[in-house]
Amino acid sequence: MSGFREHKVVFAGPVGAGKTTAIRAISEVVPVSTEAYASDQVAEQKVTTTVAMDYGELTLSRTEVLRLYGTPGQERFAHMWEMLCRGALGVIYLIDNSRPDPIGDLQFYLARFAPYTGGLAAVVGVSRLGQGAGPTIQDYHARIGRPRELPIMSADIRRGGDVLMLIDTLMLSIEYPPTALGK
Amino acid sequence: MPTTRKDFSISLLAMQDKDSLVLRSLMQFMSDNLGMRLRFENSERSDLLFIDLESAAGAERWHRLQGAGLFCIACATLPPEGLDPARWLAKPFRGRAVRDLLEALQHPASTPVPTLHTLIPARGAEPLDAPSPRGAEDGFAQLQAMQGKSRLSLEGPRLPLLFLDFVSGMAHLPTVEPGEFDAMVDHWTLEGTRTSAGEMPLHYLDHGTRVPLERLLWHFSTYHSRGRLLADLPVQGAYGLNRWPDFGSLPFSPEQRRMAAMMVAAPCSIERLMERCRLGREEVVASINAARLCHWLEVAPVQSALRSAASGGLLRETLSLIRSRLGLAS
Ligand SMILES: Nc1nc2c(ncn2[C@@H]2O[C@H](COP(=O)(O)OP(=O)(O)OP(=O)(O)O)[C@@H](O)[C@H]2O)c(=O)[nH]1
Ligand SMILES: [Mg+2]
Repeated sequence: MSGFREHKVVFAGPVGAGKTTAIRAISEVVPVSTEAYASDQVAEQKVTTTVAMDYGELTLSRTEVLRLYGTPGQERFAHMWEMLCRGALGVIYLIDNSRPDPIGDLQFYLARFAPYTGGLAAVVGVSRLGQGAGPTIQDYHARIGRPRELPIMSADIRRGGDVLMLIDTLMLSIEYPPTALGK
Repeated sequence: MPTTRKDFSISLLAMQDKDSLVLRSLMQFMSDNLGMRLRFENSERSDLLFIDLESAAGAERWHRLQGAGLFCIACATLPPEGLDPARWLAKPFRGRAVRDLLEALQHPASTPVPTLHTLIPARGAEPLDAPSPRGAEDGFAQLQAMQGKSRLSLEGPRLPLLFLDFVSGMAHLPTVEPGEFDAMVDHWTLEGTRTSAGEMPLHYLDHGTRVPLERLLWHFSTYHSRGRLLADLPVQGAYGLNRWPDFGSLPFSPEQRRMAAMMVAAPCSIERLMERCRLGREEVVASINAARLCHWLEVAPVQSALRSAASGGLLRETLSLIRSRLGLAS
């Protein structure tokens, strides 16, 4: 079929950050998810974990579809990250602020995805920000050091509205890339 | 016939400074919402005596004043055994408990008390009236005074005691329940507020709630700016942002998000932001002022404003298709 176009948004981030939850919140099809009972160290955090990927989609028109992919959080699936990122509109990193070093988590994923995401738009959603005394959004910007290129938003992933906000932000950062003047 | 009482004199007895500061500011704020007038004094003859039972002096006073026909309220972590629960206020002090107590005082016995919704309407339900234009008295002066500060306390008749820390990007306030802050913040205004430089009240370290500073500053700016730019901002300037705001903590519409994205990409004139985002001047100016207070604003001469290097036609179309599919205005 000619003229069929598809667009991809990739969700990435550590185990339990909410990737599966985010895709379930907005997908129009029953999302495909390859959950398995968690083994080893993951089991201490949650009962199931995604072992291949999450998939959801939104029909945009008769000839266009938006595909939502969730990458598995465990590093042993890193080989899939490149494939999922190829041709994507952008990447939404989800970070769980209640983990011991959430900014370190973000730095890790940004560095690991960098070879596949050069030039792609990216947005960070930080969940569980209200709980405990984890870092603030300001702390994230201070340590990552790219406050104009990388939007970092607090988000409750369980709420569909917050997931839409992250996608909207991703699209805005595609539409209005930072100019050299602004640097 | 149920009587409604509005005026009370109050004394806080045998209480540490940090606790009485929190309790006073909570009571002042809540009483304002309830239309009550509280007068604080230091006397055993006040209408209401709040006594801290967790100090030796407080316990002694409590026993001495019992039976003297006074209205004493015990402040303690746990309800004292045998005491009418209506005479107990839990420590650490929290907004909801203080409000419940004041409500009960105002409407004795079985009078139905107003619900949370009548006291603190949900955002959007019942906007505050714009402040009457009284020049410096309308709170805009206080907004001006916040510029360029790194830490600041705010104390006023229509606010709890707030400590703003521009370095961490957080504001500190007395403990409120999760979700309560969002319902309250839109009712806080700066009229009559004293701003002072200084340190965070120590008790906010263990008895406080911290919230994103921009949520407060955007609210104050939206309420008090009324189309006026802060004094040293040029009307003919181009305005940019040096970082993305946290849309997760701001009640932004898709149009306001677009405005912020344009400003992050390149400085823009007020007119261009109004036109591209279909926003009124007041909304644009309020955001520029708020960004200034957050230390996020960049000002450039207007002729250097770039047409935002927005992406090409096909991609644009796709983005607007995705937006409309997701129900986000474009
Ligand atoms: N409090 C809070 N809980 C959340 C949030 N997002 C997700 N959760 C919860 O966190 C748990 C884990 O979420 P998942 O969506 O399975 O995480 P994941 O990123 O898919 O994890 P893996 O597939 O194991 O890599 C679920 O129980 C969610 O309800 C959030 O923003 N706030
Ligand atoms: Mg998952």
